Amino acid sequence: MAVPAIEPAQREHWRARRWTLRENTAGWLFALPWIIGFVCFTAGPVIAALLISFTQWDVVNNPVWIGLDNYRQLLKDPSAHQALKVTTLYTVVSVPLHTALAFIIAIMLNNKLRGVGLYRTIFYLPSILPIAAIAVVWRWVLSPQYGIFNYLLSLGGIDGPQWLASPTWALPALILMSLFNIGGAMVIFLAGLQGVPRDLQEAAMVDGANWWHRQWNVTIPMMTPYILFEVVMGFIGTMQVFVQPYLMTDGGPKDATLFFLLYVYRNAFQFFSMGYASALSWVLFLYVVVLTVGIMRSARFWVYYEGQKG
Amino acid sequence: MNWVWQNQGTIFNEDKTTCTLDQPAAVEAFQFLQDLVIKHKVAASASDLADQEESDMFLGGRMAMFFAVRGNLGATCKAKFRFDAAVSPMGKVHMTTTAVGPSVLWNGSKNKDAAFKLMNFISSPDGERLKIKDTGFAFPSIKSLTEEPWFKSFQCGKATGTGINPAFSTEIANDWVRTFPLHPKWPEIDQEITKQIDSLFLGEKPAPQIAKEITAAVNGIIAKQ
Repeated sequence: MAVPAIEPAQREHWRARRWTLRENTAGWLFALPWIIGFVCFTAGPVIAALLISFTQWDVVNNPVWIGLDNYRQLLKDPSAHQALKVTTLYTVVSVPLHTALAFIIAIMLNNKLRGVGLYRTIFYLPSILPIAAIAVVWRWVLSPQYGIFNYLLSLGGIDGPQWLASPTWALPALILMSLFNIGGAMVIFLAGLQGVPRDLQEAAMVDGANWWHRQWNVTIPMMTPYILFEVVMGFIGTMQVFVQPYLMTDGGPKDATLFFLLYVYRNAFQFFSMGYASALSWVLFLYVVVLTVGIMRSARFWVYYEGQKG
Repeated sequence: MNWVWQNQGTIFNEDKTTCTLDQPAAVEAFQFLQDLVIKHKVAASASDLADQEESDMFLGGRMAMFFAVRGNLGATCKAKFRFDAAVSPMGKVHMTTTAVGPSVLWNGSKNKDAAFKLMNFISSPDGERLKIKDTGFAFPSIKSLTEEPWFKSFQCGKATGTGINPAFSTEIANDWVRTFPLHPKWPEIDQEITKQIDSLFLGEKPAPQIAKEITAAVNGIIAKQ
């Protein structure tokens, strides 16, 4: 019996399907190590933490299911409220300052200055130093008696604050410290500034715009996608600050620097309330998600994408 | 807590169901400590402690005396000046804080016998000699070791004479030391006390008020399920 001949179009179709299948398989295989890592080390623990958050678990004994009790406890736990307040305050002040400073420095370093490479390196350097080393150095910088800050203030006749020893100044001290680590944001802004069309700047100049008007009306609008990125990443990062308060203040004095993650850590690994720590983690996660979505939604009012209509 | 204990105060009642830091003996001790820092300015202030640990302040020549256990000698022996150790100053009674580092064998261990053998060696006279003899860490858990010549003649850097180890053994032999109480919620309670003590060092509130607030907070933790 004669085998019906395959039409050339059908043959082409099968070839294309085989090629797609091969491409897809290769793609999945390349992605597989990441997927395995994500499932085992991120998604798995996240889901496990959700389940643990409904239990009372001291790590040694078996967990006991207690439903929503951990979440109810959280509602009336003053330390959790303080931790959320401290973290939010730190984020709300530090992220805009950090972003603005990085942006200003990037604009300054975008000029063709002599030795600009050296300046860029100097500003970027703190970003590659281990945070633990930075924390130790800053403890000295902020020393009320021997620190360089208070020494400089004393030159102006100002009696410097107690910084990390003061419940009033400890959080501002940590915010101040965060401003010296702008290297990562600065590099992103520098990259973004390369993409701001020169013809727009020149057109504005021809129209009589001065330097400030050009930045305000051309550079900043063109840079808003980068600013959005930095704000979102900065927001997510600062909500998870841990090392600085852990090493520098241990949450003190008087819980003035009790960051949320530090409180999670204490509950998990000092008080062995793993269930409560998991509930705290989930609340932080949801808090970050809600606020991040809020920031992203706000983007339509202030972020300009060149490719978008209107 | 040295000051509280030296003043015959306690952290808890007998069955550890209530905090007793608002009792007169403890309040008096808090007041004494606050006065040392705020009034007389002879003890490390909050800003001093924000800079450095007490042992570092001592090594840096910023502090004349600090409470220590023998475990602190490891670092202290490196002091670049002459120093010595003595029994802690006495309040109404002798009492100072010590710490115990127990070895624990997990009942779910797959190698219980080997683990037990190792623990046995670590806590044997030979094991303890090996661990302690040439170092400034730990204190023998076997009393007879404190009578051995190597312990009595331990030379710790520039320490004056060789009386440094006996200072610690005298305290232990006379039962002048106390560990923090065993309480299932101790880490949480300790954190709360530390937080409130900040107010004492900062001189923000009078000692009796701080004692009252610590007690209320600690009782709240104890009452929590």
